[in-house]
Amino acid sequence: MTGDQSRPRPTLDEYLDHVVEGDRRDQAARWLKDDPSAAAAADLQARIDGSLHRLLSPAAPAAIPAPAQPASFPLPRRRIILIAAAAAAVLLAVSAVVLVPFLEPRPDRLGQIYRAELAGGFTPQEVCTTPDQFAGWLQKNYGEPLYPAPDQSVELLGWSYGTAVTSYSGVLLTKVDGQPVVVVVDRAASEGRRLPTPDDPALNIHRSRLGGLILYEVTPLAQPRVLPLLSEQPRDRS
Amino acid sequence: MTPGEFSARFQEAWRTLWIIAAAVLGRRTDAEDVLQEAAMIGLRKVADFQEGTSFAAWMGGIVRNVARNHARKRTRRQTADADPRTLDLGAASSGTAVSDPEFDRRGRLQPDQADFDDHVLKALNTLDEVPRTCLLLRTLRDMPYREISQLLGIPEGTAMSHVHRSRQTLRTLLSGGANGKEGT
Repeated sequence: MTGDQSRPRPTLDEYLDHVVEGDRRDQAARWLKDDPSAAAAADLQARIDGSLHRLLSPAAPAAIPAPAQPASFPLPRRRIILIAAAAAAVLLAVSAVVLVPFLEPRPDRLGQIYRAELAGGFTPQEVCTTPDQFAGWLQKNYGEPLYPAPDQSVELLGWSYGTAVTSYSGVLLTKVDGQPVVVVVDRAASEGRRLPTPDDPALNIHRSRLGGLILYEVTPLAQPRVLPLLSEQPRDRS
Repeated sequence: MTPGEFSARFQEAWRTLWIIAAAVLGRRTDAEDVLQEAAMIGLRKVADFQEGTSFAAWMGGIVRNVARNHARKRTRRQTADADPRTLDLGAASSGTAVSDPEFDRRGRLQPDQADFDDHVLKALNTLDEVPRTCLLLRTLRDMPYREISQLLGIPEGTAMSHVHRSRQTLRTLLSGGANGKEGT
């Protein structure tokens, strides 16, 4: 029994939680279309969520180097203190690496983001695999969409956040011919100066500006493969 | 668990733990410091971790305690600074003040968006710690309620209820009038 007509329509929270699918999601969409106050609440919630993403999304994970000694057995107190002190020194250095970007531009910020995403398993915080999702994410976070042209060699994975142009730059994770490539995005007006090429000779940076957005493609490939696919206008899909 | 395994698991849980820290603090500033300190404590207490249980939940408990201590210290340091606008500035982006007069000239955000973000942070900080944590884990990590429940040691229905009520509270506060600073 499908019985969607007999079931109560989804609540706004169910709709926002994405727990309704198929006919019930259509039912919710119709309800939001017909009820301006519900639609306004949904729009406001989307704007709030966008702010929370922009303001409070975590940066890419910092490395936590392991101390040299195994700790799977009870250690003498003095050794624990020594290990803790050594680890503290390393972690302070890591902390500085994480925090300094907030204070001044770092020479290898883009390379760090690329390596951190790889170390983290190259898993996006927000999955985004279609051109519509891609444009919608940019619209939500930066107020203007970009539209990627389909290309079978480029696989969109999704978005993370990192400290690059600002402390909450968008980081698009893609695979180009199976190789991990990231594109860092932010408002062009926030770009104080160009971010320099990573000190890692295996990485290349390609920079582009589209509308009010600045984009850096960080890639092991010699040529940019993602940036040329982007445009400010939707592509004709016919 | 060897330190190497600890490091790998900590990295894997980093974003979730970071959100827990930011949720307890009510801002992103100091979240990295909290995680570094929590990592040290976790490493020291790693023998207490029971294999087969959730590492993120175990570390999450440590992160919450460390973050609470940081929050208490900050409160003591800032008791003389009672202007909520000033207090919230640090929350925006690790010391990059949303309302910094240079902010508009440098164009980091549209003026109305910066103002709205400022209100969102203020509204978020009216929530209690656990509802705020539930809301951020759900919104920023898209985490299933079951995982939130396991992470925070609360019933799944409670986690869901916290998220729904928190959303409602924020919408009420930001839809006009409630905080007396709306109308942007």
